[in-house]
Amino acid sequence: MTELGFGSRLPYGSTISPECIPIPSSIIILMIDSTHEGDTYWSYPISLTCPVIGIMVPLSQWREEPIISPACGAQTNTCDDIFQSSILLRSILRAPLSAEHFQCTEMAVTESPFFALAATLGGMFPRCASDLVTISVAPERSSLCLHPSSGCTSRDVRPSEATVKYSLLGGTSSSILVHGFPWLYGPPGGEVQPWGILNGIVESKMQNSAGISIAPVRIMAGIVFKPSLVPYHQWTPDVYEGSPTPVVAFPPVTSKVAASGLATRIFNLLSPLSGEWHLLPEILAILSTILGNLIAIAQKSMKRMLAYPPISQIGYITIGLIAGNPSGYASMLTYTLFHIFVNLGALARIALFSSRTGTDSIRDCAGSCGQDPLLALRPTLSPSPLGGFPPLSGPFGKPYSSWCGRQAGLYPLVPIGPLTSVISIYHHSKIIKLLMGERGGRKLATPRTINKRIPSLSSPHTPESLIELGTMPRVVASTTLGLTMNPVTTTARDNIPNQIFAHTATILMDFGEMSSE
Amino acid sequence: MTAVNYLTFSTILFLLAIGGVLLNSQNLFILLMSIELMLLAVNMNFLVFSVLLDDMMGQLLALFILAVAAADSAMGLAILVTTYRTRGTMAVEYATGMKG
Amino acid sequence: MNNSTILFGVLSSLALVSGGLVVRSGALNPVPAVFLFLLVFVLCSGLLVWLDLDFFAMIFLVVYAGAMVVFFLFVVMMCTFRREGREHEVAPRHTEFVVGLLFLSHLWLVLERSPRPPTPSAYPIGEHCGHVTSATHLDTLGTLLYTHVPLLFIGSGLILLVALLGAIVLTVHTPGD
Repeated sequence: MTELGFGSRLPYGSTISPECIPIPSSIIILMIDSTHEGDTYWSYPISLTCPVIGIMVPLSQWREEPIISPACGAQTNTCDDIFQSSILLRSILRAPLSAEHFQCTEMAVTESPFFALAATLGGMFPRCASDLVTISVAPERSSLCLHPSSGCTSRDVRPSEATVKYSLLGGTSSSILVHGFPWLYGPPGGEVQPWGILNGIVESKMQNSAGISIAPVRIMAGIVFKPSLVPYHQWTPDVYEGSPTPVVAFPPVTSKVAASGLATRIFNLLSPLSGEWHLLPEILAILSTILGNLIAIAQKSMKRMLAYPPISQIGYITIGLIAGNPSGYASMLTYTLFHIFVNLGALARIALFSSRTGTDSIRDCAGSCGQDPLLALRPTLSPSPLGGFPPLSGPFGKPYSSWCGRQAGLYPLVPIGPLTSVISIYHHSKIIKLLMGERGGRKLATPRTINKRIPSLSSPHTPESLIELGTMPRVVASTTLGLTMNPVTTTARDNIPNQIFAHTATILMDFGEMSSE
Repeated sequence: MTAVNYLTFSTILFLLAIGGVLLNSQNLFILLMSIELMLLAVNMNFLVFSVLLDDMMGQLLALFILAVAAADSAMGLAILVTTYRTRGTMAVEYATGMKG
Repeated sequence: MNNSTILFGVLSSLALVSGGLVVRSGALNPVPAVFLFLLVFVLCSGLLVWLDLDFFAMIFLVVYAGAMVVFFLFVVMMCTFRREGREHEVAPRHTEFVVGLLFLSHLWLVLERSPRPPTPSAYPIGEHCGHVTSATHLDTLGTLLYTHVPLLFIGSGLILLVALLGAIVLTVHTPGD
């Protein structure tokens, strides 16, 4: 509780110090933007340095045990630190992409760094969500930031349609989610902390009452929308297709990661409530891993196709979540990291590719290998980790999460991994064949000239190579993460605090004694 | 005149609003209003529980949800305005720009 | 079957009916739907008054009726609606009738609770003077907001800021046609 050091100078100690950084910097961006008309010189550096500082803070205070701040109900542990760092990492990686995009389209939306920072903040908040208030408020923040930046200001019909779908469905799902909370707040006796709720339920012996059983159903129905598990997955391809690439690269995926961080909280709370609670997410995980891979085969648009691997990845993440043991959480964390690198890298390369071909239809890219081998190599390299070729990161994550599923006794989930790998390898090899062999594609445009721009590092006028520069760490990470997988998982597994599980187990034991009496 | 009455009222309101979201295929406005009605039902639930338990946390939650609802509706209405400008209609059934 | 039950029944059933009308009024002109929507909130705040949550009743009126419904109406007026679907007109008297009924019920309530002569207190005030502190809703909420969950307060303020900026960005950057 009393943590000395860097964080103690900030209000509420070090619990929320990473969150304290984006708030002032986003406000500084706004102030600069309003005082210097049309001058975006400082916006991008600020939006880049803020997540860099933010990522230093949790790393510098790598803590051994969870901290619960009494004042604001914020609770953090190492698991959440990793989540938060991954969101910040993503925020850093997408910055060159968006700088490039807004320059290319000459749509100088100066507010976009602000919304990006606000989305980062929204993604960071769920990790310290330990009471119902935060859990109900936090997901809104990351999803609200998607709407203004999603490009529905253009004349194109598709972005506005995607935004309308996302906003209305998202609003519905979050109200359903929130409607589960009064039933957790009221009947157990006015507690808002998860452990208080659990204690209240156990003490009042309300496990089987109607009000309590309503709550998990509603919460489950609401929470699976944001990570886009299968019956709720329709918004993802629409948003991917309709929005400009940097927007796709950040807010939807942030809200996904944030929602799976939130889901760990809620599932932790729900798991003692009823024994059958994981049947539903189990079915959803199976459906989304299979369907996410199958539907991707039928896609004709490059970006739309890219929307489906994340759906199946969320399925794998959910397996780790359902397993509910430390190694399950470790697999979830590692898979989230892969998800970030691989997916963002793929998007960046697709953005490069489609800026050259001028289209995002897969057919039009046929045979582009003959014209520019290096360019064609990138998209072939990018989906292959998703598919799971051996030296890359995919195949190491999948067996691990399958193994966790087997360990937790979730046998139906085990054969899913290999099966879907086969499907996606088939699918991606089809794309590679198309790129390499076939003819009839559109002719590539010449690379854009660089001389218009001032190639200076601090300048927001980015050289074209900046996006390529940004792609490099992702290529490296997505290819070599498979080899460095073992240290990552062990670090994650060793740092999962056992308090969560210990506490749940104590309550469960109490309950068992009570019911046996 | 017990809390059960209030809870029944808010639950029925919530179900009505869900029905509005699910069944409505004509107007995006009505969808947005249905979402607001859902949040209203949630708020009523929180307030009733808060009075019942004599605990202020429920009212606090209701206040935050009110803020979120206001933000949601502002954003939703702005999106509807832009949609109307690009598409020229508010009907849901015309939203077929993307397939897949 | 006392008065409070009757009043609760009247208010809640009216709110439910108007909520159902809002939901069902898809094909019609949305203006009556917005008014019915307003009516739901007004009736709900009536219920809140009955629960002694006077601050929240006021907040519901101010936020929903004062701000949100006006916003809705404004947008409805801005997007001048063509009549889509049926030209079937619903008799436009419903809203007025319901509002009138509401006023009548309030009037009846006020008349029924007409002021009575004060009875002498059994507990003289001076005895407890200085020992009893009372906190209104507003006090308690303010204490909670500013000392117990200030971070969430700031956070929801940020949500509102994002919503404000987002609405401005969305509507300003639209290409004129």
